[in-house]
Amino acid sequence: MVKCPMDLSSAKPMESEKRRYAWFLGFLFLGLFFFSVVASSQEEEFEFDVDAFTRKAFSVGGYVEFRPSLFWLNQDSAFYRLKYYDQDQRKTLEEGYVALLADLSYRKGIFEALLEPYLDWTVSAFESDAEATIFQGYLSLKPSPSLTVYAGKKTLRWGKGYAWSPTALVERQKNPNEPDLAREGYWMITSDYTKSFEGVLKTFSFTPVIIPVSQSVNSTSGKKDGLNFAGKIYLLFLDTDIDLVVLTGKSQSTRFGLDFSRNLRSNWEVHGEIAVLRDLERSYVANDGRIQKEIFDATTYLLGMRYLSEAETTYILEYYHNGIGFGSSEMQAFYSFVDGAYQRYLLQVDESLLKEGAGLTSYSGFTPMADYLFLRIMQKDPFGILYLTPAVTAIVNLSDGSASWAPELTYKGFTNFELRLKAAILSGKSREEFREKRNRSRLELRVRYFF
Amino acid sequence: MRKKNLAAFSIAVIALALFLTFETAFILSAQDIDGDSILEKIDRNLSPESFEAYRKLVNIEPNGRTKEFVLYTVKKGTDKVAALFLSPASEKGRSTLRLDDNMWLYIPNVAKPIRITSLQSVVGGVFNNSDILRLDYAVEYSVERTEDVDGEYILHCKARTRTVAYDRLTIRVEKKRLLPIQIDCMTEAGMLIKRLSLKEVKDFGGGIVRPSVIETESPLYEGYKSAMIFANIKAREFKDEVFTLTFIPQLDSLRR
Repeated sequence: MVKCPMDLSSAKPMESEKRRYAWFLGFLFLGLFFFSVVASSQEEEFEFDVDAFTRKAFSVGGYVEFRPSLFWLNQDSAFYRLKYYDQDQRKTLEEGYVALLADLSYRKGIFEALLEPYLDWTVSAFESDAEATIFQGYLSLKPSPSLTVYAGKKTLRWGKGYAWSPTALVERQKNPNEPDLAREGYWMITSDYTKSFEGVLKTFSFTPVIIPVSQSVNSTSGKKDGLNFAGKIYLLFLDTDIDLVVLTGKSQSTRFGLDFSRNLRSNWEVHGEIAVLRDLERSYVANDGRIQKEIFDATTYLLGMRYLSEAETTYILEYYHNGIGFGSSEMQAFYSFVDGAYQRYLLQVDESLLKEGAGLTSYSGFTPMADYLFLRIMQKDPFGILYLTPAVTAIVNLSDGSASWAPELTYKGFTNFELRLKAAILSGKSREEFREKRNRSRLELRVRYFF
Repeated sequence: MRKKNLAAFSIAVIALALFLTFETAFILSAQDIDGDSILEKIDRNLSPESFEAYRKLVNIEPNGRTKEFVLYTVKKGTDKVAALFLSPASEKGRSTLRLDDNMWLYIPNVAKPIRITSLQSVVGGVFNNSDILRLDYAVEYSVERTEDVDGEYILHCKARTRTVAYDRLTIRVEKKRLLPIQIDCMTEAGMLIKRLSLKEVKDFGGGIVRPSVIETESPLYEGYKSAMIFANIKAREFKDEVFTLTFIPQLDSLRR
């Protein structure tokens, strides 16, 4: 049966119409309320109180780091014996590390003062060591964007290489396993003068540096007391970064070099460095087992590239020729020396040779031999997980085939926290570089909180 | 009757003539639209050629969790732009510099500028480096075709060089104020990489009236969203030496 329109205007339908109208109004108000809540929350989401970011004269920043590590030790290795010959023999070593890097600055007009103290504490079954260092502490004047003058302790980072930088003539040795770590600077007076141009040469910069060396200032920077002079000329020429560097003086032998970096494509960068080092002096173990000194010239160079794929995978590849590195036979002589020194310690409780061996710092550097290959592969946001970066780093000693393999996972999803889980596995045979390190492998968790 | 018919015929002819005249004029005006000059006007409406500004980037994850970054940005002319991270603390002091097609990233601890690419993202999320260090649209793109639809221009743009992040842009422009409403960033084949929606037009003073919020979504980041909020956009002149690798660690000294 079809109801006639008149039925709709009867009393009952009117009531149901009112009820429907009431429901509609209810939903409308609820909807408006919900919308206003959502809208207001969205507005809050995109609120930007820019006044909170007004520049202040004093500024404090930095980070606190906690880094528990587990080492699987190699008791038969040369460096285990040199370091722990008189300790309890252990297969594993747990180590705790806490550090604070603070960044305190004061700015007024063209004047700035910066202080960067670094406090760290290492604790393990073998050692408990706390240290306080000033990484940087300087005064600077910036009369114009073209000119800045610095006086104090400052870190200069020269060179274009990621894992190694042969042209980094005025800085402490970089650890290729952790090239991004902050490092202590040197006391110096330096300035930057910059000029921009139109045309093929876009930028010219000149950085002169004066580095004093004495028993109390920059004592690790050279043997003789006196003034040392360094300089860098930077050019942005034909879209290529080019640096020319030099260091000379009473405490250091003369060194000079050149580096470049350029994009071949927007996602493909190439870089290179070469440095010539004159009259270097070092101690080494001769084939007859005796420790001798030599003075020699060396040429060190590096060629590298950085490539970003469409899948946002970054590849960093570098070949490094260490001109001051040892050849295979020289390293064999050193390992034989340590073997002999350790046997002597076991038989005669004479540790003098082991102490002499530990003092040969040229062998205990990060990469003491001549030819290395570095490869780092990083994947940004894999599987759609934002702020997660898995990476693997390989350092291969091309002279003996031994290598270090380091997979890692970094997560930066929590504001002001950085979490990194990293392992390192060393491969190689006996009397090969990475097999003779103090540990076979390592696992560490690094937690950094930035403030 | 004849007179009436003649009058009606005359009116019809005049009406037709007027219609044809206006229609022809309309078609001509649509054909005469200079897309490139519209793009240049859009650039100037969005910001002065040389300026400073503060921006907040918000990355919103599918679960609603957000991460925010605040940047101070300076730009000069058609090829120089630099940005300094002010927040969060973990990123503070990071700076990026763009000089034409060259881009660098400076990280305080590393203390050495490294070359980066336009497709990378220093903040993660949907915005990449070319969004953060954007030059004028008219510098990087030319307009191939312009449509005039319902109070909007649709500009179909093609990259001038292969070094830019997106091969093609389709820009919906509000005709009245010549402000972009939506920008689709695409590959050469026309695949959508990301969509920028420009919202909340605000008067920043100094004659700058422009959208204050840019929201971004990308089919490559399903469920993720990013937003860029602008504040304190001011015309300001800088020396060329500000946009150099030597000055990049000192960008903060420009802030007043």
